[in-house]
Amino acid sequence: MIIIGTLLGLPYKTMGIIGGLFLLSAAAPTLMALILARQEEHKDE
Amino acid sequence: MNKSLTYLLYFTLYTIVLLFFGKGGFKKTKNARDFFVAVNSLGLAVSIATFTATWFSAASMQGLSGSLYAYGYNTVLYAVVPWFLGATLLVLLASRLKSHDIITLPEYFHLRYQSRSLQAAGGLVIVMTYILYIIIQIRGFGIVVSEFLDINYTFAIILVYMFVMYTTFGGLFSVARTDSLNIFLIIAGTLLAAGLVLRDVGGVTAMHQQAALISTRPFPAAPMATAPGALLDPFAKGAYPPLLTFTSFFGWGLGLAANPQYAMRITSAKDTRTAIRMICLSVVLLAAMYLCMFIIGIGSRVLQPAIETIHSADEVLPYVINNVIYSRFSGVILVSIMAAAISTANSQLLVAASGFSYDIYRNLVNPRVSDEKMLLLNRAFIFVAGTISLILSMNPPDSLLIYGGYIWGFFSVTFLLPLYGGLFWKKACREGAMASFAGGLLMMVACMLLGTEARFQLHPAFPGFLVSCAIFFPVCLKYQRPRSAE
Repeated sequence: MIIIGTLLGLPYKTMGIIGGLFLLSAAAPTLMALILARQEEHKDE
Repeated sequence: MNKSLTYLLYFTLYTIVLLFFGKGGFKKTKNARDFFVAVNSLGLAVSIATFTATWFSAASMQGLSGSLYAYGYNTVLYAVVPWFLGATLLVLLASRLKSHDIITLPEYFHLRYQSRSLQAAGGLVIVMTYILYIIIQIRGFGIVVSEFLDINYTFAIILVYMFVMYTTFGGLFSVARTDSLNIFLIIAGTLLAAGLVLRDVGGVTAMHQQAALISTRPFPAAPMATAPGALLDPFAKGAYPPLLTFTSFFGWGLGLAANPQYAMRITSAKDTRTAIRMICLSVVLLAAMYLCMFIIGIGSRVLQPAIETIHSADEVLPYVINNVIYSRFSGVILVSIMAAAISTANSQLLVAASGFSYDIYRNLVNPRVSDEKMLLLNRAFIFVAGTISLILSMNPPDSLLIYGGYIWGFFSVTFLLPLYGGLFWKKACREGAMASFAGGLLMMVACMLLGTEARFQLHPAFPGFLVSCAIFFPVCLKYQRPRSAE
């Protein structure tokens, strides 16, 4: 993350807070779908 | 060739193609289920197209880029992150909602709580909020068309009105077909604009290095000049404090999670698996599109640190395309902005029509209304609601992004707990749902009137949501006990 921050010319704080939350929130629906799928599998077992 | 003439050619071409794509829906639509949810038949590709096109509105295109231009990366925390977190809750919603045979979201309230009143109240909130929200799309379109074609704003918003009417009259089949065209245009325009900006600023690193030095007032009506480094600061060096930034989640984020326009996309998908994949893949696509918007917003500020001739952040994008990064392909970007406004407005008019005809008229007045009369009523309502939005757009709000967050907030304080509580909590009851609906709504209206955002740096949906929680859970627990005893 630090190397990317330096490369893109962004302060580390911005890269961490904005970049981190942006990526995490964009991945969150898929993570939620995976969790639900795992729960369904456990139910079936 | 003259700029306006070039734009007029693009505009005419778009109009012809849109007319062609829209006409198919008229033949397919025979009853309310066809009209509102396309017989719950949409496959993954069409579902992603219509979900993404509905999501990516004038608020995303002009509101977001303008806000990035004026206030920098804080906008990502204020709007984009809450939107994606709201979409995460939509995945939860999709996992349960598809098992209910419903046409509208308030119909679920009727099924779950046996309350026609709650369904009608839900319909009323939908009608009011969407009429107000469509102003965003009309204003967005109006600014763009008046700037590019060099015509009067009022005439420009009448043009969008006609576009939206046409694409909505054919119901969801028409909307889905035109959305497939519109999302393609939106992606093309966004990529093109980001590429042009990036070329002129000399790359992402150079863009950020130059953005850190900017200290001008972005446009004359902006509340303050930008502090050096504020564009890259998560909280804009104090201009947008953490409390205000994070409480925006209760407007934009939770409002999106309980929003009928997305719930209808879930119900119109052919099955639960398709609905969940639609949400996940759409958010990945949207994330890529928003990265382009970040470049467009911040890069535009670097290319032109102040614009003296505009009055609001929403006018930044059209100005930049027309004056700063103009190329012979700028017409594609013009069309993409129009596509963003139209694809959202027609979906929202459809939802508003369902609120009136299905949740209010059919539910309370005439449950045995015929299919023909229902379709006629829907189209009449679309005409009336679109006209009201058009009239209100003559005196539009200052910022699309802030205004939109307020409107979405109404869904978080009214719909969220009755909906998610009903699906995931066995003890959820009618009394709690109705009381939290009313309490949250009253609190939010009071906070807006009191100006909590300016006074206490609190988004008005935050206290509204707290009140609806404080009512919903105790009331449901209280009414649950006598029923358990029975």
